[in-house]
Amino acid sequence: MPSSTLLEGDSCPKTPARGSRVTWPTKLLVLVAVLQVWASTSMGLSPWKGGGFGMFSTSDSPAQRRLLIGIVDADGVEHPALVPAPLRQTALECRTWPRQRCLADLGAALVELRWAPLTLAKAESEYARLAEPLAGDSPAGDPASGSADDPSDDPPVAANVLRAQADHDRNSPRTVVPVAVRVRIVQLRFFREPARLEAQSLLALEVVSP
Amino acid sequence: MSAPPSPIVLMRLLASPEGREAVVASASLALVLLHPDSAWYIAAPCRVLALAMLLHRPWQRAPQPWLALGFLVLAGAMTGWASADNHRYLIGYWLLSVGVAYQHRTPAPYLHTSARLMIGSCFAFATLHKLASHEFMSGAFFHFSLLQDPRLEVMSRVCGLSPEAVRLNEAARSVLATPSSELTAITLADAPGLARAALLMTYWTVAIEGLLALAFLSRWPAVLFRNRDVLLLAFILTTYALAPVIGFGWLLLVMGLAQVEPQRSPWIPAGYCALLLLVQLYSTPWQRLVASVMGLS
Repeated sequence: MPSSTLLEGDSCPKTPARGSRVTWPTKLLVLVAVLQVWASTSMGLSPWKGGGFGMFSTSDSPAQRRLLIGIVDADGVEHPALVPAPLRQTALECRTWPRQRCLADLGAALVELRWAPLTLAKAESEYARLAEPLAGDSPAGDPASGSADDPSDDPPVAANVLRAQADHDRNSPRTVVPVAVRVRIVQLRFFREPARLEAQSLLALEVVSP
Repeated sequence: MSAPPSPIVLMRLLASPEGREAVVASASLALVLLHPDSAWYIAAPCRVLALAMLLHRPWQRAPQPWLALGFLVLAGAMTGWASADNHRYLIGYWLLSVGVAYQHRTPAPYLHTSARLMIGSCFAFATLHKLASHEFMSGAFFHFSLLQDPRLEVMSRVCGLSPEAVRLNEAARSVLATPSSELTAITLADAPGLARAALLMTYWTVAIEGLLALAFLSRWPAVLFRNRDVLLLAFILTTYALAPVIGFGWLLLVMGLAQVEPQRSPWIPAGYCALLLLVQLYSTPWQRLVASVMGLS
């Protein structure tokens, strides 16, 4: 039987001095938590993140911070836009810790993209649209055969927001080529009496197309 | 086929240091398996290693597998820092602490001290954040949570918020979160009882978290130090029922069990083990069931 076990605690016969029992992972915890307090109080890091213990101390979590994208077209009109899927992680990092560098990187990536209005189409119409180019290649004939409606009878509804275009639909006549992109982080802040939410700007940046 | 162990057998197991050591190791590995990292390249090797350690008992007493597991979990927290909850870091520190403890000929005191100081430190920093937050100390944080957080909906309803008001507040947040929205402010539906309940929750949270920090970091006052386990169990029992961050609750219980002194009543480690099971039930929609029984849904 070994003389030591994990949970003998203070009764262990070969107990080292108390001070020397503080191991480096505990010190690392304290170091990271101190840095997190500094970053969250003076550099805009959300107190909910970063390895400190600020969760549930404030409503200022990344979920309460919004990233707003404005695509400026050749006429100078700004259109709201959705965050493209490949840039969601960068967008989350910008919301969690808003910094000029992060917004600049995000803006530079967004201004390179082509944009089109987000449209909401019926599933049948979308299937028929995607199947159309494949109709000649399919051994089974027209993949859209059997659809009762002509897709053109049921045009998609455009939402008041842009989405990044995929490579395959870049030649759409409704493509918006940005001359600039405006990126803003706003925080939803709660006020009492009367209870209300207000969006307050934390950081904003404009990136002009090269 | 052998019969399942009776509660008395489990109590005997927990009364021995070896038995508790086995429970702490197994529960730490179960934590890794049940609450994996969101990134597959971290989660997969962690699962393989944790399973191997569960199946091959000698690896549970070797430092290298624990250190490898700890570094992997910390790497996951750091690469996903924007979304990683704070307890992901704490899981990493804990696994590293177990590894460091096994590097010593007498691991027990190292692990005991690490567990106690880590629990105390995380409550100290949590209290510091809350005391420094005007929003929290004014009661506004819990007031907002009662208006918006679906986990607190039953309590909001008990405090007088109508179902229509709950739905309106959900819609209000959606309006501000919509990219095309031009609104910059929106009014929320409120109820008079919410502000009082929010203040009560504020004072209770600061008091119990502050006491926990003191109880686990300082041997003075002695009465608090001696009763730190009861305080921690009370915190977990009450807090995670409402805010079911199961991984964090489980981790606190594992660390709590690891720092129980051998001379303590066997009911204390048994209490930790009972809550290890109970916190899993907190993830069930029990609040909705209670609400339907009370006629609030």
